[in-house]
Amino acid sequence: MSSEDKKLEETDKSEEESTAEDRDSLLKIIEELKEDQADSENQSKAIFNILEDIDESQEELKKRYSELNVIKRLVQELGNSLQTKVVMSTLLSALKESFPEEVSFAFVVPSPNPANFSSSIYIHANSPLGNKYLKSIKKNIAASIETAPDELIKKKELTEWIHSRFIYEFIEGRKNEEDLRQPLSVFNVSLIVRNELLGIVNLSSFKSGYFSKKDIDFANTMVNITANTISRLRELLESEQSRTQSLVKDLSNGIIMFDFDKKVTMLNKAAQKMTGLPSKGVYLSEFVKLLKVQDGEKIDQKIAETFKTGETYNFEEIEISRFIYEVIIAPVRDNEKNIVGGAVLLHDITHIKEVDRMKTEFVSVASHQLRTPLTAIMLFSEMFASEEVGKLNPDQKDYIENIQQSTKRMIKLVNDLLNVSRIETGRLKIEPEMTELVGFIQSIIDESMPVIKDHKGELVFIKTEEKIEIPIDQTLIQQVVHNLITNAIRYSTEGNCSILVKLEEEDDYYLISVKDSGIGIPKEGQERIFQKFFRADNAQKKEVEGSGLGLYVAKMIIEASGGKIRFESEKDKGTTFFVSLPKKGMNVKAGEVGIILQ
Amino acid sequence: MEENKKILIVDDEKLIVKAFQDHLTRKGYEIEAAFDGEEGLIKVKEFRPDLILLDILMPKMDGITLLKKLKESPETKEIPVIMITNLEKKESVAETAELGSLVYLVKSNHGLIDINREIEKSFKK
Repeated sequence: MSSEDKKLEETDKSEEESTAEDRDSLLKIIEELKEDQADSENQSKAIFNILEDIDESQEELKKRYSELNVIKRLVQELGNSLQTKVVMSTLLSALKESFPEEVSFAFVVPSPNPANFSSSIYIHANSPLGNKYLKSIKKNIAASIETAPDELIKKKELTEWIHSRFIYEFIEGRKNEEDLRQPLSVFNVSLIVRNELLGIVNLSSFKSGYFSKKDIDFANTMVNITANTISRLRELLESEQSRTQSLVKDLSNGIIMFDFDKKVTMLNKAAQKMTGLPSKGVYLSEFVKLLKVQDGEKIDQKIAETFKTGETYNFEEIEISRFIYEVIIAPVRDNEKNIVGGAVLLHDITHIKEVDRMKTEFVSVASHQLRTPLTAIMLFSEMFASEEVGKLNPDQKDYIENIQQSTKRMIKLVNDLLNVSRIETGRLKIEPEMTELVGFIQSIIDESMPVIKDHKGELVFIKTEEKIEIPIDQTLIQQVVHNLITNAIRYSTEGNCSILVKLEEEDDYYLISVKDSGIGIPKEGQERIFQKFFRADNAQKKEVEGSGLGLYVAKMIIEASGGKIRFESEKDKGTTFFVSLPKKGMNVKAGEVGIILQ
Repeated sequence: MEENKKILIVDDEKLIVKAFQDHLTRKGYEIEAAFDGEEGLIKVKEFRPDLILLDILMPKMDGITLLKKLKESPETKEIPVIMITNLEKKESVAETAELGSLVYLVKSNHGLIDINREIEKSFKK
């Protein structure tokens, strides 16, 4: 009985005189009220039910939406890398977002290359995992691999996998030795791309019956999307590769690629021509056999190093059946950056070497064959000029002197060219020896004095120190300083030739300067003054002779030995050349020849 | 001018030899010529020169080898030797000096005046 009814009874008792009519109508109203109440209750229930339904589908929508987002991100991130481990990690992170709690993830990557075989189980876990838990995951994964169809994973690798000891690698989370629990819900999904088992993902939880059919379907969907994406990306990569390969095939350089067992995997057309080897079915040893024994040994050794270090090695001159090659040894990597073999690149430099040899030969011809007849002309004309074979009339004497002058000039030009060639081919050697610089420069000046006197000029030598000990190549410095003094004389007018040679310290250098009061270098010629064969206009007018090589040679010598050369000049006022020699001395340079002094 | 001094020229360049020979003959020296190292070695023994002008780059036997042989034999080691060559190598300058040659003249850079001066210097000693 409701409290309302009780109340009504009490009223009945206190007001016995109430009419039956009143009572009946009241009851009626109550009945109606009750009915109304039930109705409204039903209605609100119905509304509540409807509302509940809407809520549920909203949750579902939300979930679907977030799943779609996860998939979208997964596809995007997969494009960043085709490295299986990275792909698996990406996949795992995506799965993690959809299974918020109490789920541990693990994955393995069965590498197709036994050399890089990875036996790690990578783990993402929210809560610490005990040994029992980990062992159970391992067993589960191993079972998945063992039962995988033969075409997905090669037998040999499979046994290696099973026999290798798994290492647990926590990407997220940690181990807890004290936890003795086991996973109560587990399932695996395999990532298979074009008949290759790329990886296995394991999902597990402490709770029993945790994963619904929906969950498993979702995980499978994610894995399938990943597989499709990778498959598409690989196709793209392969078409890119096949383009590169066709380029390699037709390259004029020879390329030999080989695997770890030194079995040749590719030998392009050029390499076939160079070596005479067939494109397939050979081992690298057959290539090495074509080389000189010591070259072959060097190359074998560097290939072994390339496998280990991944470095590239160069050989400047390797002979194969009378042709000369530059040989490069390089590692070959797969798309996961693992070294899977090596490559030998053959660049034919026979022609370059031939040109180089011809140049050297020309230099030697110029040096000996050209200078010898010039020497003979010089000797015979000297005998005429000195009148030892009879008195000459003034014209004869003049002409003979012209012959002598031309011959000397020609010898000088040949010598200059030889020097340039020696410097340019890098064959010039620099051999510094401890020298007392003040006295050495004085001796160069002394040598020039007769010419200065002829020119009615004067030379002053100012030095800030009495003795300077420095390692220099005397021949080269003599060439440079002598050339600067000679220029100072030649490009000054007779009678107005005063030269100032200074030797002073400047920071880490000794500075030798040669100042003249000559014709100067016009502005438009200043930039080119150190260029080979360049002679300024006013210099050409002043002196017919001159090869335009002196300053070029001087600059090459000074710069090769670690020094600096510069000048200051004003037309018609004069020029100063500055040569800075490092206090520690000139650089040492090994070479074949010295310079020819004029 | 010293009379009857004997000079042996060893050089494979015939015209160079001719120039030296003519010039030095007129100067009053007695001249003999050899055109390679081996011939030079024979001529030294036959001719017994007071001075030798010696080239370096020659067929059969080069000048440095010949110089070595001359300095090894007690009979010939006292004969002064002047190197006349177009080979400009510091090493050969140093090597010939060590072996005991008097002076190293580069032919294209030195005329008859220089050669005369060196010859006279060696005879004045």
